[in-house]
Amino acid sequence: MMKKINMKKILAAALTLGLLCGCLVGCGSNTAQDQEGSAGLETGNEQGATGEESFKIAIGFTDNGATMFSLMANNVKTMVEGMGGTVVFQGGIGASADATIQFVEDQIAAGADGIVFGPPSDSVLTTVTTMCEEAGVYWGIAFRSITDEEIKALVESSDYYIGHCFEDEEKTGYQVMSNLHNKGISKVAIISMAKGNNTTDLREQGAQRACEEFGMEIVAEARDLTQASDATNAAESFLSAYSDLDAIFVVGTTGAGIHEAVAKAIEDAGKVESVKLATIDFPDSMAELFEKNILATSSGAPSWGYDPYMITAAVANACKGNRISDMPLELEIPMYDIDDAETAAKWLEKYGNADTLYYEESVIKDTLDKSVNSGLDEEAMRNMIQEFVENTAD
Amino acid sequence: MENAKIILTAENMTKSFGITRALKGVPLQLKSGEVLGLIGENGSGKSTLTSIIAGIQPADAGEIRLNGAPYGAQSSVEACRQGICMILQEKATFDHLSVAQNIFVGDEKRFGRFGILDIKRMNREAEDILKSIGITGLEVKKKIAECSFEEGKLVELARAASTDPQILIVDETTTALSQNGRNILYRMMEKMKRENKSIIFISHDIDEMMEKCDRLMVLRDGDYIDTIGRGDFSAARIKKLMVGREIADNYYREDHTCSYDKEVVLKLEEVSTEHLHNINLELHRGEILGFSGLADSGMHDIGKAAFGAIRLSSGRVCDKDGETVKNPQAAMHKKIAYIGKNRDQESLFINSPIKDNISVASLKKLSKNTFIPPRKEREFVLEWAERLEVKMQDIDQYVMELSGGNKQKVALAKWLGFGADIFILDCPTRGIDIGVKASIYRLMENLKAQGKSILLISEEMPEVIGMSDRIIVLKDGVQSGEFERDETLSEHALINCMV
Amino acid sequence: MERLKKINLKTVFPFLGLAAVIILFQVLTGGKVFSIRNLKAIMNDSFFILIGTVAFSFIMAVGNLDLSMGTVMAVSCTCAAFASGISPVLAIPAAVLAGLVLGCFNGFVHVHMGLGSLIGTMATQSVFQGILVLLLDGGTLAAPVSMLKWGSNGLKITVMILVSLVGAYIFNFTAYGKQCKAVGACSEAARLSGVSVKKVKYMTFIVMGGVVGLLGLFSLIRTGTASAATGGTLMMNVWCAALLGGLPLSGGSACRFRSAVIGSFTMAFLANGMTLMGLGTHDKQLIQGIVFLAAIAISFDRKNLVVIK
Repeated sequence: MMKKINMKKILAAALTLGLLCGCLVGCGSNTAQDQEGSAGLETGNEQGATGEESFKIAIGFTDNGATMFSLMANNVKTMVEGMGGTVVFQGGIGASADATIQFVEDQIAAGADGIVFGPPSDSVLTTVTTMCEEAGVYWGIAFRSITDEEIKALVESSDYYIGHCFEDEEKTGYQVMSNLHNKGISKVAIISMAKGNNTTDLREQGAQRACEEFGMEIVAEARDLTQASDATNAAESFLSAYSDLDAIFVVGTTGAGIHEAVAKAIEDAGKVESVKLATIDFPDSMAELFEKNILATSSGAPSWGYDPYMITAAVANACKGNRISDMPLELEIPMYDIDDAETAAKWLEKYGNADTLYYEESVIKDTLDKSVNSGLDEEAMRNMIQEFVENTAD
Repeated sequence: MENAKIILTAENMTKSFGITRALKGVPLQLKSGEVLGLIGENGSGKSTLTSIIAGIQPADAGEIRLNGAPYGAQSSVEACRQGICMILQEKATFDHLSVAQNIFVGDEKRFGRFGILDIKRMNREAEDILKSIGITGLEVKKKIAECSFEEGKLVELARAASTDPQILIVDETTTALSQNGRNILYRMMEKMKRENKSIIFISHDIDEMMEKCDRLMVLRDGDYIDTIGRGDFSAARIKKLMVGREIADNYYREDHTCSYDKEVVLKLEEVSTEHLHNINLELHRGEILGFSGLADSGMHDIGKAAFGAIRLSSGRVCDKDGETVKNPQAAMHKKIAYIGKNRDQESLFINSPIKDNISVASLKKLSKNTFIPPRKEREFVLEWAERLEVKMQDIDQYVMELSGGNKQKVALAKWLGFGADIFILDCPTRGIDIGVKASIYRLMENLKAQGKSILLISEEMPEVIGMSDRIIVLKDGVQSGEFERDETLSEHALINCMV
Repeated sequence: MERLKKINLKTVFPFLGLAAVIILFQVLTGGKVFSIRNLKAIMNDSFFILIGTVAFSFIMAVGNLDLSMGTVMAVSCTCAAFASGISPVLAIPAAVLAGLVLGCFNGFVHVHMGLGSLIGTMATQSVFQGILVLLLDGGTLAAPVSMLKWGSNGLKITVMILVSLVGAYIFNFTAYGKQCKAVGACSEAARLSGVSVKKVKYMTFIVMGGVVGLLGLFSLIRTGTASAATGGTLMMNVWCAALLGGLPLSGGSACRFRSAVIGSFTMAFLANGMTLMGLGTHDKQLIQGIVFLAAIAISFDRKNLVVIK
């Protein structure tokens, strides 16, 4: 019995020691070894279909089957594979800093050469920068801009940061209000998220700017609605309290069916002619609402997945050794306005389908791959984006 | 009697628990209308044998015949249906059920009416049963949780009576019963005898066995030793058969003088608890102070109060310097040791090795700048386990696997190793065979000779009389008598103060 | 001999589990498990699990559980973020202190209010979550960039080894460690053997709080962020590690310190292996759940069934 116990103790000690030594070796190694290690990984890894040196990009968004995500995943996959790489999707990062760091760390460990994700806050980026630099992994950001100046400077000084794709939320808010102004609207009530939410705060700033510029007025607001019934109540009280109200602007929500509830409230109050609805991001019932002449205008990204798509393209080129630019890319995706039923139907037909390709495979090969199209630079990419947005509903 | 019919025979009963061979081919014959006593030291296999007969556990080998037919009950319910019922040493009642529900547990169908339990009828019948075996003053609607341990045992008795068994097995039940409770059991046994039914009776009390049994079957270490008829009963002979060697007739103290130093080492001043009222006492150096009383007299609270283990409603416990003993840590600081009545719950970690059990009180002593060298701990434990002659494989053996006597030795080793000066022993020989019992008495004498003091609380009057310098008798939480050691002191004198 | 064999099977199981996990993934991933880069990731994974499990093993030895550790970590992380706004160095005492205070509160709830640890920490978990939301005001807090440079691997390994050694020392070679196991084995017998049961139980929660506070600090250094989601995976990981390592839910003398270490590495290798295999979050969660269930099923001693207090 004594012997047995000792054996176990020794075994435990040996195992622990072994593991810790392993860790020490792993962490004590210098970058040169690291690169060797990663090179070893790459060659031992999946070979690209073309027989060229393959690369792997990890995308921090889920591929869970919903149309929006599948559309993104299909396109990104087609593009990266077309360029001779592989891609993995991992969702569940959400608003968690822990999960984001874990994602980056895991994917680096799993041998990724490029990483694309949407950070929940600026503060995680310092660590990401360090990790990616140490591992020699290129990375880019989708959907977000870095607002913290100190962090921004640090991130942008890194050789492995490719850049970001983003929407200008302030501009979006401004754009919707100016569209409303063009339709002769001046008194607006808004439905938005709680103060402190980065996205809607910026959109409201833009709306405010438009108010000052065009002499419009935000007469009432309702915040943090999570249920359709809340929206109905809010809309009903707007309608009864402000008889001269021209429009209700849904700046942002997390709940489902909010737009429809507001539309129904307008309808029930018999004010379809005098009060209009405006939204950001295209609601599912968009076509129907235009049909009923309730929805006046809606602004949104042409397709949700286009953001990660474009920055992934840039990262993929960097992985192949052809950086688009030595400076971090700033790729703004402009908003697309839809203000009639016909356009809405066209949009739905196109992007309500997960199989739609943003670019055909031939375009990817000839244009998006810098090893073929050596003229691809930041300017060229911006032009592509501009063209893509303009052709959203074609 | 001699020609009575044999109703139960068992041949070659064998049972092992892991490496321990509890029964090694033991035979048994039970005649109708007799009380067969099973006697032997702890771990001799009495309980194992009877629990196999009662269907509680299966035998590894052997054959049992009931009324000539092969018998092999798979469960106690099945055994009960065939007329064999057992009252266990341990508690076997359900706390949250009433007395009546406990009596008829497993048999509720009898009172079902359209799926609803006819509680009134159940209570009525329960009352009848209690009355028929002579239990009075036990409310059938009372929850078992509110009953004393003794009342619980009586309920089990009533439950057994309600099934009207052909064979009743009584395993070490009398230790839990007061005189009154014992009388109820004895009457029940006599009634069964008159009805030509049989009883297998187990007790550590040799006198009780000699008085109640028709034949005594002796077991030792799982072996069948001998069966003695009533005519050949003698305590010395039985003890010799049990232990396998000659045991001195009187294993209590041989001197008859009350002796102790003047120095007071522990003092209870006006102590009251839930069960005690204004108790004053002084324990002296080198004194064995005995406590006697009925189970509910509050004497078990004295031990706990003296150790600081229960909250006092008034009064205080203090040591020789007049410092108050507030809690067990403070008590241990004053070198006081306590061994509780419920060994497995209060004195021992039964799911832990012997090592942990012995060292736990001496951790402070063993540590040097917080460090406890494993070797030093092992040596310490081994030393004390060996001094007390604990029968074990090694000090890593689990206490659970030891017999009652050896368990108590482990508990004693813990406190002797700790180096206590005052020992509070609550029922130190409860359920322990005479071999270990004798060694515990020798130990107590040694401690006394070394000038240590002992507070002995016991339900066994001969033990208290045989060992104590002074005896305090409690009744309903109040001191009702005090006696000094004297050759002529009889149990009768104590009993007079108790009731 | 039979008895010995049985006991050994149970004690050997965790080792087999660890070996199986390593070999399985080593084969499945074609030898990627022991790449230098990956070992680094495993070190980072096991850092939080191991340190958390070391502290948790004391709570388990006493026979208690803790449901609030993740939230304690988040609150400590937030306090550290606040303090770092004044001066980065202040973050260290702030995190540990916050952990200690919350641990103390857990102890108070269990010992003085007499609530079972399971229910008690479930309630405090909810209270702490509320405090967290109030502190964060629904958003996140960032640590100064200069602080993030502290997070070197050398420091992490040092802390990991130090905590493990100190933990092993206290658990196996001091009166306190032995008293924890004694309380877990039978608290009444422990009390009557001079163990201050309340103090011992209190201490386990306070130590847990302090250690988890430290983890909160490291989380801040690692992610630069304090948010409501901080520490969200800690509890599941630590529980899994403890059970996979073979710590019994009933506590007592069967608790071995090596269980905490073995279990933590098993969990780290398991999580890492699944990532190497390219499994998504949902698959991982499913597999982890199954492993957790299996660990409980195997380690749960149904004979000595004790209700967790």
